[in-house]
Amino acid sequence: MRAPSRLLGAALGAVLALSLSGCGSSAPEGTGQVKLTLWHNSADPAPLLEMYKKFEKQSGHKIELVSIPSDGFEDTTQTKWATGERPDILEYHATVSGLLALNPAQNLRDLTGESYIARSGDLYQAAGSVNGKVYAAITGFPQVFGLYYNKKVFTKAGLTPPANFTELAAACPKLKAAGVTPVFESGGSIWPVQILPILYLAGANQSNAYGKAIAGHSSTLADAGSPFVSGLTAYAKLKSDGCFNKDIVTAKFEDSMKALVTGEAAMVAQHSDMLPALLAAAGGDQKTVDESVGFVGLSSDKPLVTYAPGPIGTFYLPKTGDAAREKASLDFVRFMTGPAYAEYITASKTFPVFKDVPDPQGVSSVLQDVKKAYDTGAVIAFNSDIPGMGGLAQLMSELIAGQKDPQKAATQLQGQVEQAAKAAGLPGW
Amino acid sequence: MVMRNRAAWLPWALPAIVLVMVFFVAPFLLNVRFAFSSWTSFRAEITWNGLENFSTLIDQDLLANAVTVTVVYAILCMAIQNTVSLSLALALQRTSRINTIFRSAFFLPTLISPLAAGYIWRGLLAPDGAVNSFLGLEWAWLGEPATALVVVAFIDAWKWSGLITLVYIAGLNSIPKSLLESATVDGAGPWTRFRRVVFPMLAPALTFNVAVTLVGALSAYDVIAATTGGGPGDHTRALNVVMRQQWGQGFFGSASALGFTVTLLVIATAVPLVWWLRRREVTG
Amino acid sequence: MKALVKYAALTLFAIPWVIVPIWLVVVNSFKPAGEAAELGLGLPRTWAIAENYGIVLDRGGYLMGLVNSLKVTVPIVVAVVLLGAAAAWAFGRSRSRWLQAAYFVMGLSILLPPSIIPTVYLLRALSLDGGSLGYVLTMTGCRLGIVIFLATGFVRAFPRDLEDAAAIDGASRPQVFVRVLLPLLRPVLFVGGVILIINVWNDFFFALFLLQGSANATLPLSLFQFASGTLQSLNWNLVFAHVLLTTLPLVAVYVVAQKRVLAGLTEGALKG
Repeated sequence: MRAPSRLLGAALGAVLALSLSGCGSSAPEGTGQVKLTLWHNSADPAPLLEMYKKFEKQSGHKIELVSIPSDGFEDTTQTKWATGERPDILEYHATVSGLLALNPAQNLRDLTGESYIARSGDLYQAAGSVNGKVYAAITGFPQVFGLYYNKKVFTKAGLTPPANFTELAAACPKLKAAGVTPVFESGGSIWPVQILPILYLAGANQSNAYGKAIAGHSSTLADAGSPFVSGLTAYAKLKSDGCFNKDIVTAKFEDSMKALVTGEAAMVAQHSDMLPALLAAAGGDQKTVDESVGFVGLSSDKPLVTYAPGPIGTFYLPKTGDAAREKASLDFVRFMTGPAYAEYITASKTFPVFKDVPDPQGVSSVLQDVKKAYDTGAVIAFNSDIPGMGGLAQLMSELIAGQKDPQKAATQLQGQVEQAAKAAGLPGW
Repeated sequence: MVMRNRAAWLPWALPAIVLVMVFFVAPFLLNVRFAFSSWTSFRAEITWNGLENFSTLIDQDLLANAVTVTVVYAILCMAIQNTVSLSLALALQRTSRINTIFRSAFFLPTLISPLAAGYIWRGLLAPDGAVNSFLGLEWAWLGEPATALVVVAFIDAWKWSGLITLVYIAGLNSIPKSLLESATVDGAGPWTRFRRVVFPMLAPALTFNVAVTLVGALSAYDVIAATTGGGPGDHTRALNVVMRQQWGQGFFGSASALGFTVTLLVIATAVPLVWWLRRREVTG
Repeated sequence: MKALVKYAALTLFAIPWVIVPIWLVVVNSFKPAGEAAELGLGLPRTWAIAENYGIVLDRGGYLMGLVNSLKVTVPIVVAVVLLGAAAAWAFGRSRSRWLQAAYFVMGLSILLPPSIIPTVYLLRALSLDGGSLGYVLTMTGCRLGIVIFLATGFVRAFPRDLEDAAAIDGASRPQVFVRVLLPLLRPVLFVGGVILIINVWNDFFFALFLLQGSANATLPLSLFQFASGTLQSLNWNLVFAHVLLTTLPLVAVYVVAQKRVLAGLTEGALKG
């Protein structure tokens, strides 16, 4: 008679104990050494992960990595952010539009006085800052957007890689006749299908003119014959001319990398941070990649590459209100931008953002192509400063599915920009 | 006697009432507020804005499509699930060793998470996957507007039909044998027996299953996330998928408005169900 | 003869419905990446069992996911069953109008979908966001309704003689609850528990919004993170190995208890 109720008590006790054990957030351990939470992109390359470890070793702090899948990276980060959860260090986009959505004035620590900013040239004019205040620590070379192409395929077809959209459209039937997919688009991953239109707009966006006009509300995406509408129209034309792969709707971006390396496809519009994925698609064989893949810039009319400061290696320090952890996270930024940075550049074989750090040795030929194209003419992505452009990729899916024509898609996107610009309280809205 | 004391019952129900009130009812009421509020990641304040969230969603062509997709999806799920489950239940009604083996096998998909179910069928239905090689086709089942929504609904039905089958078997077994026997004596064949006796007697289980599958499918998210992510275009972009996207872009008010729309759809489906349950309580 | 046709048809149906999907997962999780990319149903030409499962256990966060899943499923199921039974007893026996009104609200909570976004907001306000405690409480609050509803019907159908007799024997109310009520409600609680376990173990939607950080990720979340991470999403062998490992615990429990589960669900509480 007593035993069962004691059993019940025990069971209830167990429930309590189990549920309480779930909320044990660990306290700082030892003297001044703390645990820092770092939300990072799952595509962080190994040398960057190595840097996190080095910081742990040097400082004695612990870093807890929270890995955010790179598919849907923005969504997931914003969702977590929206719940009010704050890491000590956040790896995220350096674009103004990305930054605005974090509500920086309220949530992020102002890093304006830090010494790395002066060493970065005018990088922070276009990125990582809002209203003259710098919030980001950008350590990664900007993502450079352009066309990866398969050299062998082009040589065999007797063609040179296109320098503008007219040439791209002209190369299409010839490549098809040679039995390859001219351009491989991966709508299954959704985000890659916005790259071609962004490349197209580099022509109109020199000195960020177009982006500023849209963000400042002096023109709209949907104006008749606007560069944006022309870009989408050019894209739709490529689609109807059969320039894209048949499985455009389901293909994932890994498929595109594979198709490019094997020569099944001639071109893929992507950015420079995808090199590790390209290497993986080649089975880790750098030689294969170097021999078969090249990189060029193109826009509506000129051979321009587009750049956007990427999320990889861009760090923010959210306000957490914990003095010990805030000090440690600032140490992290100083470590990443300090003397150890040169080692990172050597190990990662990427280009430095700080002027005083020399270029690495033995850089892969594709990356040299990227740097060459970047140095000859680079334009910031037109959507960098415009809030509410997150829906572009979704709209492109609808364009591809034939549900929206370019004009209608532009009108709808303009609506999303308006929604976000008003919410962000931008001047001119 | 102690047991008849009214007030003394409260402590027994209180923990459950508190939990439901705080973690179900309170969010439900808050949702009504947020659906009509400006609330974004860009600013900290939450302010009333009337129907603006809805009008923004309508202007962006998101709401009408999402409602249509959701309703069609729910009807497809309900139809496929109940057809399969009722057929299986009729075949496996009698409890015998062999039937138990089959019941057990058909129950297995129920144990698989909807997310995993999505991955499995994405593999099977890939353009170069097993289904196409068996049929000699090269069809992107999940990538073609014509099939995507039906296929996703099918996957959802696949995942749940094992459980629904068991509910139907319970319903079938509750039909008095004497009724069937007297129908047989009256010379009714199997089809007539099903139409005249079994089907009407199965009405409670049928209504229950139809309502449960409909209401469940209105909140669909997992399977879509694992298979199409809302594509091709917006052909499988159900309300919860748009909600997740709005939320991800920092438009929390609009996301709440979409959640509220799901609630409205469920009420439109559930009110008849409640009415039916109450009626049954009175007559039964 | 007729039976033969029926079982032949059932078998023919079971092949694409159950056997092929499971076979696809199992056999491809044994293949190296390149071979699994073909998504074929043949046996592996090269076997890669140890490698694949090693990677999933190591990089896929499987073990942590397993612990986290247990850490939320057990408390939710125990809390819902015990608190639900206690409440059902009160709802079934009391004639208090307040309790009847509360019972009606419980009924509503079964039908109406939980409001996930305000839940996130609320948990944040209560400083319960992101962790497993907030998740456990939310899931408990959202799932109590169905168990209460089923069990209250049961309580009402029973005469109260047994309870009265026990009370006359001098048993306290908790003793009556444990000795009389819980045994009476066992069939319905068992069914509710089974459905709840399947539900909670496989939950992705709530977990996606409410659980933050890989330290809290349950198995469906860790599967999702693993399958949508950059370099893994095409590796069907690893995705399927993760799917198999994620599903296995539930299947194992089911294999042990399947007789009772099937009997409970077909003859137990879900009548009509």
